[in-house]
Amino acid sequence: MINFYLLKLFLGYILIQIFVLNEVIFSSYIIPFLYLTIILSIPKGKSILFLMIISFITGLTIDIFEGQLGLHSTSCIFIAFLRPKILSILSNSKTLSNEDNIRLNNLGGVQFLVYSSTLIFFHSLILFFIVDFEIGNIFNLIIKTILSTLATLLLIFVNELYYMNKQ
Amino acid sequence: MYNLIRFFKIYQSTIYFIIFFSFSIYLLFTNNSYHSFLNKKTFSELRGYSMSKISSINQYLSLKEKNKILLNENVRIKNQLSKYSLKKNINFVDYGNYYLFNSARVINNSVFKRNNFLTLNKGSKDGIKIGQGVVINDGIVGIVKGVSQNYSLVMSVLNKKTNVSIKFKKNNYVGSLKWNGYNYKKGEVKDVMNHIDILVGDTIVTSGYGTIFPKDIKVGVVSKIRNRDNSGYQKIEVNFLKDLNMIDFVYVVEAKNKLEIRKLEKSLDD
Repeated sequence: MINFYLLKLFLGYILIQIFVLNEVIFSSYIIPFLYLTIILSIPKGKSILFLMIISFITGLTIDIFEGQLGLHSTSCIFIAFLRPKILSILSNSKTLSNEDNIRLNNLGGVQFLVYSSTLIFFHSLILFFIVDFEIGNIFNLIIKTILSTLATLLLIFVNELYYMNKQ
Repeated sequence: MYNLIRFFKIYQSTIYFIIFFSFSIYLLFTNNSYHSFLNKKTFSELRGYSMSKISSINQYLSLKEKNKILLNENVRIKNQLSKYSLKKNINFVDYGNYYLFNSARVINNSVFKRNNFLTLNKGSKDGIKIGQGVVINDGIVGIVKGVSQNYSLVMSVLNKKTNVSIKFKKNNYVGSLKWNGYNYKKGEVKDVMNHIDILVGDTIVTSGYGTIFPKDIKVGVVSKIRNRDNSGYQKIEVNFLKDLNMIDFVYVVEAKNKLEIRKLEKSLDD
């Protein structure tokens, strides 16, 4: 049952990312990564290996369609590594059951904001750093990271609110 | 032994992280060195298929505008044709003798990355080979870098590795055009000496050296000139004439006598 749910989630967000968000680009500075919802929402009780594999496959699928292997998978693996550490800091996560998906409605507004914004920020930072591998324009890199993080956060919150209303 | 297992349990997440991270970094470096197109070749059929479905929808939406552009181009070509038929007895060189043109459609395009690539809907079946140039009317698009049976992959001008030989139309000074990665509407020519007189508004055309692009295709217009006194060179910004984000139909160009020219030039080195 849970696996079926994950599969649906996986296919849905990946299709949206590949066919809508990667196609509709406002500028090279603002790229929303809605597919991160998949990694963000994996239940707390899952093993670290499961988390890593799912993140890797998610990143790799996006990479294959973007034509540059390793970009998204590297940054996804990094936030999969970071995720348990950030969850352990948040107080609400202790009352969270092991099987629940981590969503806005069971983590609470502020805590979900802290949780998702940290992960998305590191994801964008690493992604944009790897794309160019140029240390010369740090200013450019940081602006890109912050704008993309904000765009992703906005989309993810809209999506979470919709999900809450549907339940 | 017990200690070893305990060690693995404690550092479980770090170990998994190192394994997966190094694997994806390995993927990144083996597949994205700009010359190896292994990954692009293996997945280009799949990507090409899905992208051609999307682009057929996109194309339908902009049909009206496309029609207009095609009509305009037809008129222009017809005008040119009539001019040529008058000049027939004058001794002049026609592209047609040296270059073969092959039309293709762009089914995937990017302009916002540091290294951009395009996918075309024609491949080795239609005679497209690695190393051919891709041009449009009043602009250059890139160089073919990978070919599968039905699709081909083009390294765009908007790429770190692309280096196009150009010249200034008014004084035939030759330089090389590069892209600096920020704005897809602007290119850059760096190797022009300070004493060469260049003004804003000068036209830049392809030089025809190197047998990839035909001679005298318009590329862009000079938009900004910066003198750098200590180096002795000026930095020239070029506005491309055509928006590379809006291209649809392109021409793939093959120099007929490419092999012969290469052979001749190589014979000097020996």
